[in-house]
Amino acid sequence: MKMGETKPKILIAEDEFLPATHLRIMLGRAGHEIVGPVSTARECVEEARLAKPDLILLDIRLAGEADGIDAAREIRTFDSDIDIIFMSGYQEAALRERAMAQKPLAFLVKPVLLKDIQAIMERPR
Amino acid sequence: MALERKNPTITASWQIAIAALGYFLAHEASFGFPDADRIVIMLLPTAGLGLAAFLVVRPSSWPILALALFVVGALSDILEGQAALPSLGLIGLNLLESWICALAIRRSGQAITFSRLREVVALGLAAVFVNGVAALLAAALDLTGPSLGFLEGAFAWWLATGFGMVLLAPLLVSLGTQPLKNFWRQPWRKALDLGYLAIAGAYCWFCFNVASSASLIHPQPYLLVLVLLWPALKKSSLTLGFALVLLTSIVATSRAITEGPSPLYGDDLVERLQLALGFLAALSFTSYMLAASFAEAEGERENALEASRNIETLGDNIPQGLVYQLIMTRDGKRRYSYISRNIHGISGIDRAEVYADPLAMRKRIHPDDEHIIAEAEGGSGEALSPFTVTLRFLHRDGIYRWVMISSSPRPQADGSILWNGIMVDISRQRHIEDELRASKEQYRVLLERAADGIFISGPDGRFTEINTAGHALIGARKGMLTGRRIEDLIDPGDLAERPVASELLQRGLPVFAERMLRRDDGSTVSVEISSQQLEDHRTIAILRDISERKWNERKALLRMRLSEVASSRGLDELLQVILDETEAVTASVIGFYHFIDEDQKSLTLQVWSTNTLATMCTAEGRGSHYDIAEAGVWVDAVLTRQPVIHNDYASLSHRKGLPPGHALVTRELVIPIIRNGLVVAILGVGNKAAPYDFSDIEKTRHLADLSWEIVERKRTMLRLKDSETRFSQVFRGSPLPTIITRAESGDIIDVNDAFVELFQCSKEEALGKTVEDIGLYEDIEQRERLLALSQGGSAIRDWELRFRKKDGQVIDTSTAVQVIHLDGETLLVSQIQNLTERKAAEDRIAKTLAEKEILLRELYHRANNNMQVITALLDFQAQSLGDDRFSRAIEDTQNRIGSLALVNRKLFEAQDLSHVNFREYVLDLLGMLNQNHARNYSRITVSTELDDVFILIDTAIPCGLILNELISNAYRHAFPDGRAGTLRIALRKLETGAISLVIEDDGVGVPEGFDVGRDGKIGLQSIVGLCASQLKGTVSFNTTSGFSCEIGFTDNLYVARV
Repeated sequence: MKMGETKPKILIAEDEFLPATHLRIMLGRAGHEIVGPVSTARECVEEARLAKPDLILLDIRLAGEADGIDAAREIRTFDSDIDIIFMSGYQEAALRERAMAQKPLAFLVKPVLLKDIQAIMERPR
Repeated sequence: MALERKNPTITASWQIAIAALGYFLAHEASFGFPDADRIVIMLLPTAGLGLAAFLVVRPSSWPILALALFVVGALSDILEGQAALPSLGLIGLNLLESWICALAIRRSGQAITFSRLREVVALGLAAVFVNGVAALLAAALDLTGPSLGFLEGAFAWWLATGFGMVLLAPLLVSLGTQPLKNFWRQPWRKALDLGYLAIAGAYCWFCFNVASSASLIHPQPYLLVLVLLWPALKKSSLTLGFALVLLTSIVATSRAITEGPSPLYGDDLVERLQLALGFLAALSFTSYMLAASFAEAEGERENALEASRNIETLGDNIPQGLVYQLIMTRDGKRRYSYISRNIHGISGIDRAEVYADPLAMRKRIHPDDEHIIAEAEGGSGEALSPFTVTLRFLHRDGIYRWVMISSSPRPQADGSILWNGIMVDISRQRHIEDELRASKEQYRVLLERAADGIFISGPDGRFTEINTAGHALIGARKGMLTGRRIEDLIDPGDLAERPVASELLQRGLPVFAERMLRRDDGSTVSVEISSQQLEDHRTIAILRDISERKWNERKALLRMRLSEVASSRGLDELLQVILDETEAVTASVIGFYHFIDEDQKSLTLQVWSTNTLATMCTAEGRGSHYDIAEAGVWVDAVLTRQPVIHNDYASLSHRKGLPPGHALVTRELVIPIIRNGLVVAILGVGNKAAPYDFSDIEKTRHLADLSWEIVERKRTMLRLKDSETRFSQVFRGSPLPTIITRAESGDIIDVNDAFVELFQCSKEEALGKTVEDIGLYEDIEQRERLLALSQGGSAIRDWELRFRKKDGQVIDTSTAVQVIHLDGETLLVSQIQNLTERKAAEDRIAKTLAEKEILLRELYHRANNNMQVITALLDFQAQSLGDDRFSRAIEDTQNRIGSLALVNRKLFEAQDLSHVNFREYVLDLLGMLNQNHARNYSRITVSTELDDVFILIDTAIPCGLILNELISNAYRHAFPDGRAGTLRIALRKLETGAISLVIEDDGVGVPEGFDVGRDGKIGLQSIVGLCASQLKGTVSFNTTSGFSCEIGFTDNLYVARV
């Protein structure tokens, strides 16, 4: 991801309509190419494979049986460079620990503000 | 050593008769010769025959023998026509000579008795011929004749025969009895023998060469005896003997022949030859007979020696015993002829000692037992019968041990008695016998002293032995049971039902049985019989009286039956059960029960026995009051306060009439029941077939006591019933399982419904039993401890006990026990709290809590999601309006929402979902706001002084909003135009418990005359409102320098809701 030149391509995985739409619109408006939003782990993995986004905004609780962490693990098997930001209403230590094992860019507790995401993306690494 | 001889012995009188006949014939032998005149005159009573006669009879008979011979000899001499005087002299001398010679032989020859017929005949013949020859020689030498006077005749024969006989015969015999082998071993014997031979030779020579013609000496007979006997006795050989005989005969005969005619041999050569040959034949025959006889005797001696050696060997090897041969002479002298060598092993004395001192054995016999052997030997010797005695004999170890002496006597020829005896150590046997006797004695004592009846019967099943207890059991006198059988003792009814298991007994198996015996007085007694057949087919039966046990069992059974029905039956019914039982055990047919009033003046008929009511008595009288003073003799027991027996009711003088329909009374037994010094009731039975006795009193008394126990129990129960109402509120209705028991006995008085429910044990099952009966306590000792603790009367609380339910399940309880006293009884009221259930409830609560927590977390999560949605909506709204101010407002709102969401987040991190760590909350909120404002206000320094304070969510939410407003305000307004400054936030928990929150900045402050209430925007106003109305706290502003706001509140406004 090259800062300043092209905005990173973002895959949004969020099963709830309003927050998903909110993110899509707001980030799209900020100039990002948006993939999704997808609402299941399987779709997320599929899109990640096909669309090859730069960043995935991954809600941990998704529709379907598998959750976001499962999706991340799957994605890591074919693309270990992809940036992942987890989002979750939960913040139990166990859950957080499981999520951090996938080496995400961040673990954001809902409600997630757009500027939080932007701050993370602009954070020098 | 005397031994049995095969040849028949001849009695003394026959011996004398034969000797006399021989003497006569010898004298008349001349009749057989042709020249009778010459020879007969010359014939003399033969000294040789006399000698033989003497030798064959016992010395005791010698005088009478001598007399017989003298008479016979003298008579035959005189009858021949000899002059009387010379005849008497000659015969007398001859007899004297024979006597002396026989005496000499017997003295030295010891055992030679010449008792055999063969020897007698041989000696007789020898004598005849010897004397015949002597007579012939005398005639030939012309030595005899009428001219010869008495003295001349006597002297001539003395010289001729006496010398040789007296001198040589003893020597001859003495030598002859010595074994030849000993002879050669003993030099002096050898010399003597050689000397003897020399003398014999010289004598022969003298006879034939000197004396024959010149002297009166007649050596021939002795020479013959010498030459005949010597080799035979020497046992050298018969051949040698014959050779010698032959030699001598030839010498003598040849001389007779060659000498020429003589008066002795005759003139004719043929006649001389005839005479010589006859002489020779007679001589040979005689010598043969004698030699054979002696050889045989010698052989027998050898056999006897061999046999005696064998016997000796045997005798020496008798274990723990010995054999002996004891000779007692006619004069009472004792002598051991033999005793086994092992006398030394037994007594420690040598047999040489015994031989030397016959009393050595006697001395070792226990002084107390000496008379036994003396009497036995005396009697045995007299009756010639064997004897056997046992006596104590001193052994070599100094201990008297029991020995058995067995001996049989045998009379000896010489009148002595010889005992062949054996002595055996029987101390061991004796010891065993003693032990046996002792054990028999013990057995006897055991049998007699045994408490149980012991009956021993023979193979036919009839008693042979019965001990005292056995007689007592049957009530029979000693000896009356012998011959009876066990079947005869068993009650016929019982026997008909079950025969005796004799088959099992015969198979040797022990048999145990409980039987009913019929005693001799007709009564019965329960016994336990244990019998077994012994190896000798006798049977031993041990009979134990178990009537006591039976009675106890019966009592226990009755008591149990009563307690079973006690709660459900009326008092009268219970008393009737007791009366019926009393009737049964005393074999009565009437039973009655009266209560006595407390004044002891009247009584109330309480109940009749079932039988009395059914068959005996139609007089209804239950509940009737009687005046004791007017009642019949059956109240005597009340007056005397003692059990009363009237065995002959009809004869009682003070009896009163019975009411019509009343049972006819023949006998009665009445027991007073006395409590606290008062007669409280009487129990009576009557009309037993046999007289009442002491055992009836005992049984009745016991049942009477039981009856009163029942009465009291029943009364207690009744009283309890009354007081139950008092309990009912607390007891029946109590949700806690409760049980009331008697403190001491553990009898269960009552249980409540909760108890029934918990323990699944119905009231019927519990009441009347003890806690032990229903197994309530897992460990019954717990109850003892409980009792001990409750002795002080104080209640016990929270006693942890484990009880067992009816289905066996053990439950943990916390039990409270209260001691109460009710109607003089100490009762325990135990209230049981089932901890098992409480624990289950706790588990349920814990589970519920866990569920609630999950629910809460879910709720918080939902709330966060919702805030996300709200944030999204607000964003959409702001975008659609496109107004900056509005965007700011949206942003503020989003911050406020964020501060609320932060509370949720903090709660989530907290342990109990109620309290928020306010310090962390402040820090997070600052971080969040700083992030929002960072780009614009990076020159603002934030400093915090924060205590660890936990506050409830209800407090945290308004605090969060206040903080959000104040910090946002500071960021937005305090430092305009790039002004730098410090924002300070302080959180303190004061000692009073109040919480103080200060937010201040050193910014531009507020304009002069600014009033928060009036000039403040919605933000500040809401701070005041939140603090005052929701937190019930204080808020103060300080605007003198910068802007400062202090909020004070307490966290006790709300209580934790989760």
